[in-house]
Amino acid sequence: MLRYVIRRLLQGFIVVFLISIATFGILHLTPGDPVLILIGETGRTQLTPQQIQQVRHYWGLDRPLYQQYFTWLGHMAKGDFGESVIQVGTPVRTIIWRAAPVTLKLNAMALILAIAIAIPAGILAGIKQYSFFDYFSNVGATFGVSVPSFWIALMAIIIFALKLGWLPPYGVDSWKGYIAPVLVLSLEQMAIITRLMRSTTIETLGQDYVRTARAKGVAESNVLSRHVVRNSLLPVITVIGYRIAFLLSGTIIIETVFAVPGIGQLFVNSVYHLDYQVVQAVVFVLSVLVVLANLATDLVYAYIDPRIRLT
Amino acid sequence: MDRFLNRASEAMHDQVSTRRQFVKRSAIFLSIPVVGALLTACGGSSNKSTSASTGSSSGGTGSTAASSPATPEVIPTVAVNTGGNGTPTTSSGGAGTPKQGGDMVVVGHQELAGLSPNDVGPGDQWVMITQIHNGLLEQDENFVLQPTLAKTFEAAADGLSYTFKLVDGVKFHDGTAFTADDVKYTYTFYSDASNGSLIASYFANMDTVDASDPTTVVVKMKAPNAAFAALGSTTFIVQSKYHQQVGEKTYRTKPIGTGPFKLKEFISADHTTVERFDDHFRGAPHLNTFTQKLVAEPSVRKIALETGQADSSVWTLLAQDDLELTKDTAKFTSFVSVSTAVNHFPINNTLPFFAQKECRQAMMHAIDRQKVIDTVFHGAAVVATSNLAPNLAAWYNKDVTLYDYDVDKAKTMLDSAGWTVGSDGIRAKGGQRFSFTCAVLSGDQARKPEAELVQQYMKAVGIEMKIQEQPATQILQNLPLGKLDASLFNWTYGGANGEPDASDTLKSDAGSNFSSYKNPQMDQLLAQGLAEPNVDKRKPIYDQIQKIVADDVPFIYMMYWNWFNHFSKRVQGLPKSALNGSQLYNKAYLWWFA
Amino acid sequence: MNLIGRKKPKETAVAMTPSTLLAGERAHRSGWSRGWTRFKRYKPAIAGLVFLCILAVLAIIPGVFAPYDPTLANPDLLGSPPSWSHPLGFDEIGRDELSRIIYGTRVALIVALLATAMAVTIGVLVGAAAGYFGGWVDSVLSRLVDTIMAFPTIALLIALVAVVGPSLKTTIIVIGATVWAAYARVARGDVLSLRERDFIVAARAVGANHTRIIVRHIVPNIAGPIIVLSTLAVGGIIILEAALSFLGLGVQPPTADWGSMLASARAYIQTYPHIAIAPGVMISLTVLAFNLIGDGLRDALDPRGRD
Repeated sequence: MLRYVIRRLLQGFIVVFLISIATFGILHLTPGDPVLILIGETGRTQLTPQQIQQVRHYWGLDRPLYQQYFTWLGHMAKGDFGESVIQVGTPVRTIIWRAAPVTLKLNAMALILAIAIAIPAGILAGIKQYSFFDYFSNVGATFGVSVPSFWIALMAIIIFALKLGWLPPYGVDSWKGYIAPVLVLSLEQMAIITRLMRSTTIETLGQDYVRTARAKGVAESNVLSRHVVRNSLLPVITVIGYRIAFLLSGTIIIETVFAVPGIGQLFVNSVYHLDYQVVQAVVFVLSVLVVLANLATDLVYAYIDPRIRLT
Repeated sequence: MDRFLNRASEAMHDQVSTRRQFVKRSAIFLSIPVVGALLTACGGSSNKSTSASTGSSSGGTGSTAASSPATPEVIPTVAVNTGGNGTPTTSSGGAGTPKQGGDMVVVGHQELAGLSPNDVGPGDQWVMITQIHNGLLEQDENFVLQPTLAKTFEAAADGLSYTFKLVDGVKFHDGTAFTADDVKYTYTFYSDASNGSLIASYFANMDTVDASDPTTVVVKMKAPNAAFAALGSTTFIVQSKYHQQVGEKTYRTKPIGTGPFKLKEFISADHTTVERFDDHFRGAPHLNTFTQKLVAEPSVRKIALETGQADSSVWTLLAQDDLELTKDTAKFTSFVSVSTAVNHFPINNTLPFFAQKECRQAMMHAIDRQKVIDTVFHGAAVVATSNLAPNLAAWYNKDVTLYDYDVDKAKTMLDSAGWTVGSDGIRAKGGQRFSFTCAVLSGDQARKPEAELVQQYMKAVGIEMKIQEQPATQILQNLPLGKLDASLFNWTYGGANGEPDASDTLKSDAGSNFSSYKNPQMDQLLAQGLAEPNVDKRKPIYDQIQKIVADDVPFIYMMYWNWFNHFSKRVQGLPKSALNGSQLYNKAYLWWFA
Repeated sequence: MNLIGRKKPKETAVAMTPSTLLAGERAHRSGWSRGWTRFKRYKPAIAGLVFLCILAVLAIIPGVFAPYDPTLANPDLLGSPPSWSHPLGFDEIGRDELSRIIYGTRVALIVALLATAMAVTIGVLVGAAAGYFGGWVDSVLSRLVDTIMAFPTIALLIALVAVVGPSLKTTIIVIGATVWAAYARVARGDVLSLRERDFIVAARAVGANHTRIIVRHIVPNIAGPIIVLSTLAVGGIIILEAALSFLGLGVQPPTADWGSMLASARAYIQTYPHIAIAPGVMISLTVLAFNLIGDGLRDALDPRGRD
């Protein structure tokens, strides 16, 4: 187990390192003088040449490339992501900090909802294979992955906000504003998790130890709860961990359509306005989050799976 | 600092320099006699000849105020209430007595980059800056310059000096007293382009500011700057010691002024809130707070108004939504005026096909501009004939080259210019195809359909116009540098604050010369016009400028939008009408909720 | 996984002798025709295939089916609702929706096919190399894949397009260059499990070199799963392309594209809501078709039913 953990941590570390290089590299791949990209048009017209030089020095742009990287990394590690050029003078860190809670709430609720529905549905579908419920949930799941989320979002707005007036058409000023985005965000995950849960349940049901348990005369309910569910749950949990990346991806679109003031909308707006520091910071933060989530999932899985734990 | 597109120039600089109104369809009128009466009422007490300006040569209406020949003529190009009358001229349209309290919410379309006097370009920003600051004079919603921090104002006939007598007992938000030194500091700082000032040109030709008497300011000019009254003296005043201490960069996020509201919270990408300043010299406002929230999309702003989440929108909605809300008089009080920013396609004049005047003129003939107005904008605009809007009655010259919708003529002109149709249906000359890319603002819901329609008109005469969405900042940055082919947005080419001067756009070396237009004759005329103090002598210069623009077609000028300002019915204290709706917001301190 | 309940065919036990090993391999290979029969029995997949054929025809000769010119704007009729002569109504500048939907098929299928081809090719090459050679090759490539997969796809796409500038070509390349990582992972897993199979071990023991093994043994055996993978991948790619266009970062006007049509629909959602319906339905049906075909292929080519 220990060997696995160490190896896994090392891998994670390497990936974060590569991510940092990639994120750092975007600035230099973008055409134009890096310092002008950083200060934006605001800075270009309003800062004095000395101030521009100060910025250049702060980010190490007047030094060789590898030194620049370490300067940049040093700032990032301390949480100094630079300043926004649209929200003049505001540190990017503050901007992200402000937008994060909304996104967190949104994603947490969506994930919980998806799991709460998908896991029981998947198990049930697996147990009652080929039944009507199975068929029904399969159809639902297939549609869930086929229909684009932003279209469902538009339809939801048209029907529930504009025609019926039950929900607000945009923003999260009231709790009602969360309903539609959370639902739409959870749909895709729900579909995938259901399918997966179903197939692992089926697979587990076909395993020898289940047959043995039944042959021994163990009550069906016990068979299910003690053996089937627990063992089918395991691979699904790991998949959920890996799907964090996709959840964040979906957040970007959903927040934009529903005008939710979270990280996703912040990202899109920053790209539209070329607020470089914000874009860079968001990409970096999100990627590291994904890596951490994957790492955590792997470690949890390693702990639970005795085949790994006992090595 | 960013001067964003669809700008503010329009919103703020949207003022007409005349008392002759130009009315468009369902607009709300301000009747001529009323204006005249107001001016006589206010101007009478002063011993200066007043608001003589404008339109006088054509027997204009409003100049009912007697211009006494013995006193020097006043220079200002806008109607001026020279003083003695401290109360605002707007009638309070609300029923009943003002109630204290309430939090007003308005929605805007862009993040606010800053709140300093330098940031007044974009309209959304101006709306908040004007709550926090005051200038010596201010433009009201009927294009009349009103005394504000200055109780009287006198301009010399030769245009070389301006004298302001300041109001007593004015306090800044931090409790300190307002004196002439603050004016001197403000003008000196912002007249210097090396301070990063974008409004330095307002103070062109300024020589000295004399603040030896704490209650008087005398501005001396090296040479006349006809635009000083409208632009320079309306510049907002900062708390000088504080500004000197913290610097402009910090000041932009934490301003201290004399305005009716002081800054409470500035979260640029989301909202900006100001709260009541009880010691405001004109009296404390009725409202508790005034907030502007960012709602980038026009369709969503409409929803905000309809659901009551916002009391007003400081930026225009989609044309059909504006018209719909205007008709809903039960829920909204709407003001309709005409924007002075021309909706146009800046085109890079250095490109071979745009360099030829005949090609540009042909393009004008190829577009059915009235049809675009009638369909995409539902009729809520007027065709542009040159760089000044028709409602700037004092300066507008309708005697210019006109371009009717004539596809055959366009084709003939292009043919004779040497651009012949190739096998792919697109014209070419010497191996160069007549193909360009129009950069449309990302997410520009209002104008994208217009671009797509024009794309079709271009194709019909053999010109290939490609459309590409790009960030606003990128477009603004790259156009003057000649890195883009064309774009589409609204901008004032003169007409801001009623001032016809267009030096910041039409001059060869202008910072906002989006079309890379270089015409020495134009440069000369612009310089002349700015230096000419006499209104009657200025007019022919600007007539000539408009003629040249119409003939040269440096950019494809399309139309002037109607400008709509809707207020929810609960907002009281609004005037009965306004010639310039976007200026309404500087009277927020008079409003209350029903 | 089946959409409609169907009993899975039973596997017969096979004795593990050298001859049966090779026979097993041969039987595997001649399974193509058997696979097709199995595929045909899976109705939804057939439906998907038929739909796809229709789409392909529409994409190749849209002019035959589209009643009007998709770029011709009738500004007087902008936003008009559906009528008999224009069953889907007009869009926000007066173009016929139905014609635009039909022409939109082109962009969808072109991007789908090219981007998928690019992504699967790169992904399989990288993943197979990682799985087959193992060791440090595997480590390096796997870390690379992990890094790319750590960035939320949409975020990466948006950022890249913003730098390069939006167009059809950019869309294809950018999508292909980002999503290959997921397929590399799958390919690696497939090759890894394949590597330990007896007939591979046997071939190595006999002394076959890497190239021979790869070409004669690995490739044909992962071909099936790769085809399934590709088909299932297309759906996601179509949605990604639509998402990019939805944000204004895909194909530019006047090209008809389902994603861009949804973007316009969003602006006019209150006044012309009918614009939003058809493009979304088309995207959903197309992705569904590919998913169903993929499911069918999976059942057909891999009867043990790996889910």
